[in-house]
Amino acid sequence: MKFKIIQTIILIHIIAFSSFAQESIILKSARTELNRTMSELKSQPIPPYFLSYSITDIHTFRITSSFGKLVTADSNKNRVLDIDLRVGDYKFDNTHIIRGASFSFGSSRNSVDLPLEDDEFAIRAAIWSGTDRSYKKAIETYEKALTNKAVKVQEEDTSADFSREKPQKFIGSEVKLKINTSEWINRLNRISALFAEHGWIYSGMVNLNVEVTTKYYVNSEGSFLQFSEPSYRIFISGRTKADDGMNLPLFKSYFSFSSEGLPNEDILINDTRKMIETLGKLRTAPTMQTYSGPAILSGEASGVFFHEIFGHRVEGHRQKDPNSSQTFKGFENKSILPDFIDVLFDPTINKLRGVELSGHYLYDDEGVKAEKVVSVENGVFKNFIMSRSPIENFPSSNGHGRKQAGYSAVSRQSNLIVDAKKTVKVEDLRKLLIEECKKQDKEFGLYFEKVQGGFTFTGRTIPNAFNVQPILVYKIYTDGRPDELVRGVDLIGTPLTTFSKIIAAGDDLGVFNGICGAESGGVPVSACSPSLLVSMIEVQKKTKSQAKPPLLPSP
Amino acid sequence: MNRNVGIMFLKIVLSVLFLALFIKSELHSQDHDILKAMRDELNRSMNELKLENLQRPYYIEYTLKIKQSFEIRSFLGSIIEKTSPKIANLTIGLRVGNYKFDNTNFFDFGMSFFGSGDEEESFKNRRIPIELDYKTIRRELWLATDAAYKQVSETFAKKQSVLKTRLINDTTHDFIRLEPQKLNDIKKIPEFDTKKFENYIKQISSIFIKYPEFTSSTALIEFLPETTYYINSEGREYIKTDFYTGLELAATTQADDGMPLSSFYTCLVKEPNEIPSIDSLEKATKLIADNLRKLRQQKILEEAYSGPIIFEGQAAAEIFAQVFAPNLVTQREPLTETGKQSSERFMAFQTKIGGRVLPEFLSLNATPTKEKAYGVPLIGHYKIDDDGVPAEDVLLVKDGFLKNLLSSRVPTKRVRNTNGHQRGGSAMISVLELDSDDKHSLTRAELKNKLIQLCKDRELPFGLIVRRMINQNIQLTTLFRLNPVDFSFSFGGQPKQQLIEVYKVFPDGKEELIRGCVAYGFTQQTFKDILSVSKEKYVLNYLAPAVTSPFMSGGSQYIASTVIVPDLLFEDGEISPVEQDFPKPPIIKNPLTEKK
Repeated sequence: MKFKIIQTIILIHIIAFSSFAQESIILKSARTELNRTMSELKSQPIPPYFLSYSITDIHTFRITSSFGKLVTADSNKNRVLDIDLRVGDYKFDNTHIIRGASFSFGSSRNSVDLPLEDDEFAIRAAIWSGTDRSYKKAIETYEKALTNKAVKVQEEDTSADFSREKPQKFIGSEVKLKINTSEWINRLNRISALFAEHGWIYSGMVNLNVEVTTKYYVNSEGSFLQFSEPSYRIFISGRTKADDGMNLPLFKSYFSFSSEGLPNEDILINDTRKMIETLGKLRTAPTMQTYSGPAILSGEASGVFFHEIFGHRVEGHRQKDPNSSQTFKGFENKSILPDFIDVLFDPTINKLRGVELSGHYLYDDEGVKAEKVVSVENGVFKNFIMSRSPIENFPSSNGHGRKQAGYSAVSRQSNLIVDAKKTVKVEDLRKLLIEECKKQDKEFGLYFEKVQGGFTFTGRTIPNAFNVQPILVYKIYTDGRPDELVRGVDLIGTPLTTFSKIIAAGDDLGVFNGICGAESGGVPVSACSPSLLVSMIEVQKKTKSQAKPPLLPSP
Repeated sequence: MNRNVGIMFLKIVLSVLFLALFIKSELHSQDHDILKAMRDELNRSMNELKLENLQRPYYIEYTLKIKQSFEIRSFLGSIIEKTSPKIANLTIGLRVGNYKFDNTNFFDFGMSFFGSGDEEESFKNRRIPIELDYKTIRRELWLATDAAYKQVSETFAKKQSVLKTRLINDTTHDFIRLEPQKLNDIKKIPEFDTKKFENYIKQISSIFIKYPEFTSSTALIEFLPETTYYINSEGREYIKTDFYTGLELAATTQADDGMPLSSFYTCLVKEPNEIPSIDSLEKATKLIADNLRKLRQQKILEEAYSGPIIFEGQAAAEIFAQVFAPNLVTQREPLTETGKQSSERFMAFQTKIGGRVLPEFLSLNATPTKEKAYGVPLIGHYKIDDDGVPAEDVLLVKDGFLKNLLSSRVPTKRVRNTNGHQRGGSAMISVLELDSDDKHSLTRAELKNKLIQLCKDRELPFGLIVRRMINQNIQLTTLFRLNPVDFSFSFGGQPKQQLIEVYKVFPDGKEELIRGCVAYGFTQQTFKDILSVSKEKYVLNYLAPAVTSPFMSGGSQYIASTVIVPDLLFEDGEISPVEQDFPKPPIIKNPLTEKK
């Protein structure tokens, strides 16, 4: 684990370097309003006990190119204020879950658009009117929560509504969005033009998405934070159709914290060519039937698999929701995975084996310092990822309270790392797969190379199944026939059973950088894992478009 | 002049000229390329597109739009939003069957709300590259036409099957055939001086700094130019450019009893340079702000009022625009799988042609060809409608009797021809002007006296004059954005309009401003009971909500329109106080009170 030590050193260096920066007008305005609100509302019958302002400056720049032509080149700036105002006390406040409530309309949004210019009074006036609304709403929901508590049975989880955390102070340096527009437009056009050479490709796009968010945070416990989070993403996607109507998409994405970290044009062109070649093969690939048996999940596929199946189930706040299935509640110190596997969430690192990780951050969106969380150690479950919403036996945050601007923070994943202590060479993993197939008397096993994404259910009213959507799947035959590309299946299953079937890990590392969407909006995450051999997986047929391919040939 | 400077000057002039020529010719060649690509793919589709056992399309139309929208929003002198995205999109209209009976005028619930269940190519408002060349357009048209044909064929089959099980009496054709025609209405799209207008709205929004009793405020300017390329299989083609510029400001506050109050100002014109000068905008802002400040201190209406009411100026135009005008366009009730879809919304005049809809001293004309009235540019003006049909002026109401409705190429039982009013997806209003005979048009003073007399006759202690009311577009966009909490939606029930400035008028002529009033029960019927109007007219340029819902038409939600209306004296109307629980006024003082 050398890489982690190296990263920590770099991180400390950055912090030390940038903490010389100055407090901005915006942070100053927020602090002024925060202090004014707390002191003036003190005399109210139900005063706030906690108030935080989280302000996000979002500067985005997007270019989309399709078949060699520009579709959009847009730059946008927003400044969004989210208010977390709480009445009652840490133990019981207005955010307390109201049990049996049907649908609360727009209850989570407490956001206000702020002026983009650093005009202290304009900013303060906008904060003031937003705070007034939030305060009134907080009192209303607090009264409701009190009544709800009185009329319902004793809760299973009696932990507090809000954890006490150490105030954090940090002023980082501001990062500005820098990009050469025309250069990038031309580059993207050149790449997406490759798709135009083939009439059977129905969509061929390249996107560049640059976002610099600068976060300002103040709370009534004395925290104040200010720092920037840049991200540069390229997304190449192509789509064709098989004769039976099945849509066949492929994509490749790239992430970096800087424009220099993105791959050069030669690499992008090469990867696009490869994608086109695979698309061509996919069109005529045979469809796969329902199957159960052994499979290898590539590192990237395993990462997504763990993100969906494991990650979302260890998000702390879900263990408190009486409607959530709470899969791992009460599993502390119990074995859930093979003993050679650790699972960690580590937002403090920004690179792993040279690959940049988009789930990195310094402080979470509740002003808590990012922490490395060992969730599974030697196969034994240890820890949930926590926001400031405590649960039984886990009274405090570990820096995973995250949100998109405009939402309320809940516990969310960061950099998920599946760390195998016992690995085999990737080539040997293949041999093990064939052995396992023979043992189970199967003609072939499956290799999932690339997945599109997935979803999972964590509620109690529906089975807790998961669905991972592979876009590149190969049959690996036991009799030495060459691998065969197949299409049209999704990987399905239930979490606990599937975990118990992991039998070996490769010595490689796959990284999936993406944006994860859930109730607190889209947050950047990564999922890193070696290739995994699973003794038994199940695939089901994918939903498929019934529409024929175009009737006329491409003009 | 120094000789060298002279040469340099000449060089600059030459290069500018050169550049201008170059741009002009390039524009032409781009137009040419776009239309050629559209024609070629249209011909190929008409000739070759066919699914086994299914009919070929009998009609195809392509609409390609290139739009940009400049928007700058400001709050207390500081920019809050500034965008200018440019997009291009493509909409395919494809028909299977024939003019008499085709796939349209049929509402397929599944398809219309959720689109096709399959991951299909989109063919309505399909986003396409803004860098347009022959190859790109053909590729996009090819995929979109293919998807349109498949979906339309399915809809046609469904519609045919409905007819197999039902007897439909209405034999109105589905579509009107038109002769080929080529039209162009190309204007130079004016420059939008971002810096200048940014300063404008910063300046006017900063005026609200002096009004710390306001809970929120905003100023916005937008400029929306668009170029449309159109071609259909009948040989109709056009290129047109269109644009409008809008400036609006709004503020909200609460009275001491918590009642939410708001006011606004809008100015909608065609060209950016028609926006009033900064001085007059500042005056308008101060007026709005002062009136809102004054309104906070006013009494409320004690109980519901029923009696004669004058709607004056902006309020007259608004009540006409919101209640009467939407009835003036043709609407075709679509068939559905379960028979006819019936919606009562603004359908009152569909079967009313020949009947009286206004008092006999009033007439109403649609004049889309008119560019200006009373010196004001009319944003409802246009030359070619979205079907490529020249806009026609239409006599709608003569001496109180309904003569015609505004129509598109979709015939209805009573209106079987287009008069060039296809706008944003369906038939829509353009410029409407209400005229009175001389006997019934009075001066404002005479109108007020008449109101007082009517009140005396009915022994009412006072009458009411409404001078400003809320505009629907502002209410649903800007005001909602400013104050989402205090906003009440009304679903169904009696129609009501929120009023801003209402005055009690006492027998001695004295007026008293009151706050928190709502007009109840005004319908198109109410307009039959107009007693008199003023000589003076108000020109209201506004963004009219589409009469046929964009969910059904796939078109735009708001359409630039104009009404020109005198003050209206209604014999009877109902105005009530707002009845709801108000949020408490702000607990802490606005920080602006600290600003010196």
